[in-house]
Amino acid sequence: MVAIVIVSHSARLAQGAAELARGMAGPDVPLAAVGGLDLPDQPLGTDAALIQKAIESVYQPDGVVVLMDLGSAILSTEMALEALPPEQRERIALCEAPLVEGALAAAVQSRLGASLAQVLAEARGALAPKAAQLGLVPPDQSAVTAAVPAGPALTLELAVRNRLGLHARPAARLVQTAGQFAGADVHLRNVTAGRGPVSAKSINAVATLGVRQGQIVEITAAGLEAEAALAALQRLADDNFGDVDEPAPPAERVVARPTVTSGEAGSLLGLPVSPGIALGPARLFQPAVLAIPTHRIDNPQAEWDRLLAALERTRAQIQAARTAVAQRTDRYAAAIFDAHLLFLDDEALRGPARAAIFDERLNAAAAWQRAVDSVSAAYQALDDDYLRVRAADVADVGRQALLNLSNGHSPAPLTQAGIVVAGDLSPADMAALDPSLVMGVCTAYGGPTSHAAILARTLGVPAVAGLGPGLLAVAEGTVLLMDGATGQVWPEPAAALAADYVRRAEAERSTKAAALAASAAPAVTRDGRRIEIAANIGSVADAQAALAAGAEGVGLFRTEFVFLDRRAAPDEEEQYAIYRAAAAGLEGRPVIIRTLDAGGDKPLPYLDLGPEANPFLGWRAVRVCLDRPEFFKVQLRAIVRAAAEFPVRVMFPMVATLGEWRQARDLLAEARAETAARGLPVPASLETGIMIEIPAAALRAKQFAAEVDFFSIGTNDLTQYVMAAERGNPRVAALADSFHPAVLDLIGRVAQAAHGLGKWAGVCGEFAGDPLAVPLLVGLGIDELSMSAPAIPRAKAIVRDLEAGRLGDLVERALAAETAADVRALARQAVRSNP
Amino acid sequence: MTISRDAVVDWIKAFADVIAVNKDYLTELDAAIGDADHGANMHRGFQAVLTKLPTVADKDIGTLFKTVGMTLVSTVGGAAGPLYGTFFIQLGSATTGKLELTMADWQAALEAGVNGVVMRGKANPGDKTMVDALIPALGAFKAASASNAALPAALRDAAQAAEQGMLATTPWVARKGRASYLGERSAGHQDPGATSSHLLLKAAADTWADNSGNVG
Ligand SMILES: Nc1ncnc2c1ncn2[C@@H]1O[C@H](COP(=O)(O)OP(=O)(O)OP(=O)(O)O)[C@@H](O)[C@H]1O
Ligand SMILES: [Mg+2]
Repeated sequence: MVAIVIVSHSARLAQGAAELARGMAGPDVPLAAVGGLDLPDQPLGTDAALIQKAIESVYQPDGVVVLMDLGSAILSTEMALEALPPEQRERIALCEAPLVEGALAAAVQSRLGASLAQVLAEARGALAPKAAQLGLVPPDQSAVTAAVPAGPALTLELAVRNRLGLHARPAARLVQTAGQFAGADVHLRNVTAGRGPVSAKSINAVATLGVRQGQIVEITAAGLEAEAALAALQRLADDNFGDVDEPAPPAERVVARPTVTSGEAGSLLGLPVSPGIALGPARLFQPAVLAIPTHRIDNPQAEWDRLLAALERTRAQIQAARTAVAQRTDRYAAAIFDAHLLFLDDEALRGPARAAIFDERLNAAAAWQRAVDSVSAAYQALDDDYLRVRAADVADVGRQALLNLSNGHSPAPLTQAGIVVAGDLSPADMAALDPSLVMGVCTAYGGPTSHAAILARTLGVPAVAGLGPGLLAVAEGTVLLMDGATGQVWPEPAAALAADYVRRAEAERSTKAAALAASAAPAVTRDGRRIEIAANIGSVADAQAALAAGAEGVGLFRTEFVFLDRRAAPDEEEQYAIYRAAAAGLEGRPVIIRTLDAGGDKPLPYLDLGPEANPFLGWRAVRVCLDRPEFFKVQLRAIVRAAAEFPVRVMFPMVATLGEWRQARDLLAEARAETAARGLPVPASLETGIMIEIPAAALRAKQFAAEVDFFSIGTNDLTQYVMAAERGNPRVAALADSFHPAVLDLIGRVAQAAHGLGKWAGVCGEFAGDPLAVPLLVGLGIDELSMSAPAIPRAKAIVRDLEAGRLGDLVERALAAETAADVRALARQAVRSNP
Repeated sequence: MTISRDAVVDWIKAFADVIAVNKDYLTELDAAIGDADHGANMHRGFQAVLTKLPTVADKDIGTLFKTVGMTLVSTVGGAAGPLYGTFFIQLGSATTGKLELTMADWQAALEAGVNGVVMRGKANPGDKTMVDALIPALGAFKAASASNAALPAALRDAAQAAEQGMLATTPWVARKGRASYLGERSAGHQDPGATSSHLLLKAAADTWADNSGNVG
């Protein structure tokens, strides 16, 4: 670690600054404060001899950064330096950074294991966030880092809602997003805890802010891309930093319990990690054997290249694991690996390793190991259990890279079904296990918040962690009974106990199936008209939630999330993997994928959409896609491929004219032909529809109905366009009411037009899930209602209570009504009189 | 004519007395364009030097000067600490092992000392610092000895040049040290460091010019 010396005329000031720095970076950073004269009346001033002693007391081969106040502090420090041996002198840097800010920044950076140059750079940049905070651009910013273009600094303050705060996954998303903007200097500060600012582009720096749920963070961006960076980060925050609300792990903030706790007779008690009962033979998981040689090397460049090659191999492996997991679960679980990928690139690991190789001529494995150890120790030192677990992430990545470097033996793959028994499992180990063979997972160490635990939960594998080293005495093949819900594990269980548990497991399975069947039962009106109730989703994870809520399919899969917050467009493989994963999660139910609906309100850097005065009337959605056919066809090919395997439908947003529809349809045909030409499977037929959002399309529904397979009425936008009032503007928002008879009138015409030509019409949008709207829409002839998952059970119940044949009267009166309020009143009566 | 070890000690003691007498004056000067501590700093430093002198009474002149320098470094506290500290340490290096100094020895020592101050503080002539007294003094001493002047005359020339240099600092704007933070407002005040430097060289001239037996 780089040592820090603070020199001031005032001993108290130096000590105060040191105290602040320690408070932030922890007690491990070698830090010395020196000031005043060593005389009885303690006069202000500086003393070269004292400074020399202070430097000697904390001297580190990694280097020393000396921060000083002014005047004689500089002269005395220079004098002190001259008294030190030359080989030490060249590892000591005098830094002009402001004393307090510089000391904090330097200490934090040092604690992350950064090199002398990095610590210096960090200290020198320490005024930028302060200047930004004050709304000033630091005058010397361009001098400090030429790469950061000058520009006003912008800030964004937000509360972190994620249950576990900004831990590795959300932190990784944040760093990834910030990192996409090379032209923006992005800093993050934990306002609540008074930590930071730190660079938002370093995963380690961000994590050390220790941001917990409910805390306020401030994001500051300066430079040409500041605005775009902040916009992307705001969206990320709106998206909860990409975190789904995972079920609360049974014991939060428990790191490890490496002691054997005996449960009832002959059982081991661990931490319940992932529920489920399993009975099967133990399969001992042998971790890879690693020997790390330490020796001097002659050719540092060759050694560094070897390390880089190993890191690249590691990256490829992690990406493969990520893809494997993404196919089995959702992108959130897969994002665990994103954090791992970021660690691979983090200068906090690479910098010290590079320094050790070039400056100390250490071999790559030892240099890397040391860097990994120091970063993981930095996490270990934090006063936050959750962050301490991240030490394991760093260690995992470090180990994987070492394996690649030392040609160590990879763990033997699982060849027979059973319960995996291990000391601990890394997410990569977990991902590598054959899901068809893993009945359960028991580990001696680790806890419910580890990434492997999160993976086990998302993969639905019963798991118990922290069973203690006693677990490792279990012999290969020993029969284990485990209950992931209680954390109990019985080696060689009594036959009666095993039978009892197997019965319980069976019973659990059947109650769950029954509950699912009930919620999944179709919504049929009393007089036998079936209304399809589907869900709107915006991510792969949503698909599962939709299913659990009883959705009969997905009526609207918004694909914007695939495209936002990134520098380059997602490629076909990535899109295919996502669409496929969503469709697979629906267990055979249909999904309607809506092609990209982006415009000036959701800028995508790679499309150059540019800001628009009126994005909702501008160049957006299918209009953009038709102007960028090659870009559009990437998405269409990915959809075609997913449709070859699953019941996928596709629809185009913002269609106003028949010409647009035909162009889009033709591009889809091209995409299909191109896919087939590559020898990839294509669906026999692909149901293709349009969204009805633009009044022009609604009014010409008859013409469209002759060519499309279905309509999906987007009531949010349709209402805004019909009423010419946007819902975001409080002064006119009341006008944009979907209950207005004008809107209902159009919906009814669209449904009739569709039915006239044997097509079907659905409604997606909040209106479809509004309990008062359901009788109206059913009465107007709508065949499918697609809504957010939580609205589904209620909507189903309402449909089941309706008498479709008697809704004509309601519809007639609603269409004859004058105001939205009148329509609501009528609908209320209808719901009440329809008990 | 040489300067004996005792004469050197006398000079240091005499200067300590001069500082004690001028302590408030120097502080006043520093109050105008600095932090009002130059007199106190110098006084504290040279009082500490006085208590150290007996420990090196039987050592060579080089050791004596170095001890003065090291003591100043740890007791003056302000910029004058490392600056005069360096000055005396350089004097010491130039006179290592010597028990008396010839005129040439002193010239070489003074040159090393002044160079040390310039090296340490990186001040240029005209920056309104002690350098503005020291450099003319060194020049005058060299010129005098080049024209075969006797030591007392050369010392007096040096002290007078230092005084001229000191007075010249008054209208200048400071570009080094605390006073530089005042910018234009530092003009119109005499630099305290240049003043103490003048006193130092004047003490040398006064001490070594009277033929009291120390100088022979
Ligand atoms: N860089 C420098 N080079 C030469 N002389 C300097 C330099 N900085 C200050 N001085 C001299 O030091 C004198 C002030 O000495 P003093 O002991 O009061 O230090 P100070 O300025 O209070 O110290 P500090 O830098 O600790 O505040 C100035 O009048 C000036 O002659
Ligand atoms: Mg002063």
